[in-house]
Amino acid sequence: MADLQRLQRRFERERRARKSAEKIAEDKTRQLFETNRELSGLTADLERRRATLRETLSYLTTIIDNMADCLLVTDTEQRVKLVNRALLQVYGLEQEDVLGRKVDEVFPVAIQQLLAEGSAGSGRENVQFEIELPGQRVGMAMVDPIAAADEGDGQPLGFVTLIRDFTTAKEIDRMKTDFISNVSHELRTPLTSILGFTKIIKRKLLKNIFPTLSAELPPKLNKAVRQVEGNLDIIIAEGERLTKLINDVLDVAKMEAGKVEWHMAPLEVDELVTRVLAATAGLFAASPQVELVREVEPNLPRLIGDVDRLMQVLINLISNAVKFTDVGSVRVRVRREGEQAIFSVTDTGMGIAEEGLQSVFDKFKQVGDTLTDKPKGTGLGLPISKQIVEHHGGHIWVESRLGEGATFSFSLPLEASSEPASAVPPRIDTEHLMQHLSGRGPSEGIGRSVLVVDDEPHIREYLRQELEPAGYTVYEAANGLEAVSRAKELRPQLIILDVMMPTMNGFDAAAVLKNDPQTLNIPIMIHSIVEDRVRGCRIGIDRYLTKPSETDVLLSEVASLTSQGGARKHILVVERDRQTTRILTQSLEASGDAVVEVSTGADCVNRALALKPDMIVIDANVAGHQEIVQQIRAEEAMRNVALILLAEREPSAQPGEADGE
Amino acid sequence: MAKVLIVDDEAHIAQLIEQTLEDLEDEGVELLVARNGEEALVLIEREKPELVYLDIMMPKMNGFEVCRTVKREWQLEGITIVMLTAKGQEVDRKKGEEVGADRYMTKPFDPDALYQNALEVLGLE
Repeated sequence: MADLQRLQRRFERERRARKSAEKIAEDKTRQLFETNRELSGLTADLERRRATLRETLSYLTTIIDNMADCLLVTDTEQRVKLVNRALLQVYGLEQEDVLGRKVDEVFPVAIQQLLAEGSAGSGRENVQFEIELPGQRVGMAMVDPIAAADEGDGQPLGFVTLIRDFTTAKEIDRMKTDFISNVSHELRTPLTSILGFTKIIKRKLLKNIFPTLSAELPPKLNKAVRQVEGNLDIIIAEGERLTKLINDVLDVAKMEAGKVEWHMAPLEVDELVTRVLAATAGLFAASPQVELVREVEPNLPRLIGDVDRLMQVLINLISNAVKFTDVGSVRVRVRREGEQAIFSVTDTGMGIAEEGLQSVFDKFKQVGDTLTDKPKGTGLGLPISKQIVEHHGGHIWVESRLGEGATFSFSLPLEASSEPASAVPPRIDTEHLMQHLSGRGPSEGIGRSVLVVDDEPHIREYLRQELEPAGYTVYEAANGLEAVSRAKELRPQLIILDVMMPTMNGFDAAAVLKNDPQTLNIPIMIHSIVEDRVRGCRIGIDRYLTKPSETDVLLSEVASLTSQGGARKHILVVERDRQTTRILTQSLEASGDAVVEVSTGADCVNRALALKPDMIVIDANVAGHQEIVQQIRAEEAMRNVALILLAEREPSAQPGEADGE
Repeated sequence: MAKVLIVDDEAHIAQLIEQTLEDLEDEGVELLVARNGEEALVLIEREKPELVYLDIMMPKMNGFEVCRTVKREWQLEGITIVMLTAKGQEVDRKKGEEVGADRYMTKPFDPDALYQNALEVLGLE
């Protein structure tokens, strides 16, 4: 009995185990099925993606191969990575010949040059190059770098070059130029004869023939004489009108063909308006009942533009205004609105009806009914003006109401930054220093004279204008030699000396002056242009002389140097060049101040701290001068020391000056 | 005896300029005419005129070439060359400067202006 039970239990156990195993098997099988299904799904997905990729690739390849432009993709070693059919055709090559090969192995040298130029200029976009193509053709090419999608090191992965066959376009362009110049010639030549001979006829008749006729003429003859004279005037007037028409038509043709040469330059608005009004004075003289009103906002910044063409626009608007105004006024107004100058010409004439307003800038459109209102003029003035204004980046528009006059306005962008070329230093409080260094009184300049030496007349003028109001007597010299002779003659209290001058430069002049007993006691201030790179120093510099100088600063400097009183000053000179150092030393010592010289930058900060000079003069040629300045300024003890920066003009400004300054 | 040379292949224009300047003959000026570039060079070399009115568009040898020969190659002095053109293109002005042209007039020109210009160049009142 117990055995049976044991057997049953065992049977039960085994049954359960089997069931459990079956279950596990089932689960595992199910998992397997799941996985299999997933796998199938993934495989199918993969197939689909592969198919899409193939499609896309085939799509792209079709596009690339059907492109009319030639495509060349190269890597950083100038190996060919990708080409299209157009490129292969133009150069008569097969794909397998070129892929993976270096550009100079398979393509003419023109392509390599193109890549060289294109990759050098990478960073600039849309630069086009002209390139010769095989078969006497010409192409326009663009080379662009391929940038890595992520940061990378900024280096391109390769280059994409697109070349378009430009031969036909170039030919058409040349034909346009020829056409315009031929038409011009063909039209103008007969006109020259017509106008010219008519004027001569008139002259001969009036000078030689008519005077021979007796004073008293029978009425018929009298009438004939007057008619002949009148008719000739008509021919001449019409001939001149025809000339103007031809000029306008050619102008329009040239502008449309892009054949106009623009001469863009900075110009002053005030001057432009003055010239225009001078040119149109005759119109106003002929129409005494029309008054000219000029309203130009003062101190307008400059414009960049083609002065002749802009004058053309203004003259056009003004002559239209006068033409359409019988009585009243023409107001020429220029004002500034943000970054633009707005010019407007307002007349009190007949105005323009609303329907006409839209088409006023269309070619050959003249206001009025074509049957009853005869055109006065060519109808091309406004379209041409529009082209000119738009070429300058502006807009032109009209506001008018019938019977109430019209205002034609146009905008032009002002010159982006109208600050003077060399930056004006910030005002920094140096009063403490000033009091310390000088015995400055309210009328500091009285009885004192200054010799200003600079080869540029406007700089001398500028300094004169700054110094004279403070009571200084200003003398001038234009170069080192002159400076020396005038200094001896005039014995000024101070010489302000430019460094870069012809004949004898500032440093040499200073040397001469210091060696001459007559002039060695005259303090010398070196005065030069600060370069751009020096701007970073500004935070630490109290005073430095720039062109143009800041008035207060200049006066303080001058005052401090012309005053002879006070204890000896300690000046630290940071200069690399021995000769310059020597000259500076001599100039400064002559005014009674002590000098210590230092050559290197690193040394100078420590010496400054040790010496605690009143003034530090640093030459911009010293490497790391910006850091020196900042370091010195960072020192508490150095806060009130005057830092003077000695800097030069850029070499290109003075060709021929190669002193190693 | 001052001399003025007129160079133009178009008969009418040459005649026009001649007529415009004919009063100069009363001042003792001789007027010469050349109908093409080669003739012009021959006359310039032989007669050394003080003033030359030179048309630009001429067949075989155009005005620029004549001017270049006289001013740059032969480097003759004392000859004022006024280029005449109907083309009115700025590029002509530059080309004119390159070859040494002294002045530039666009057709149609005003006869009185031409006459005054001649008086000025020749130093006659």
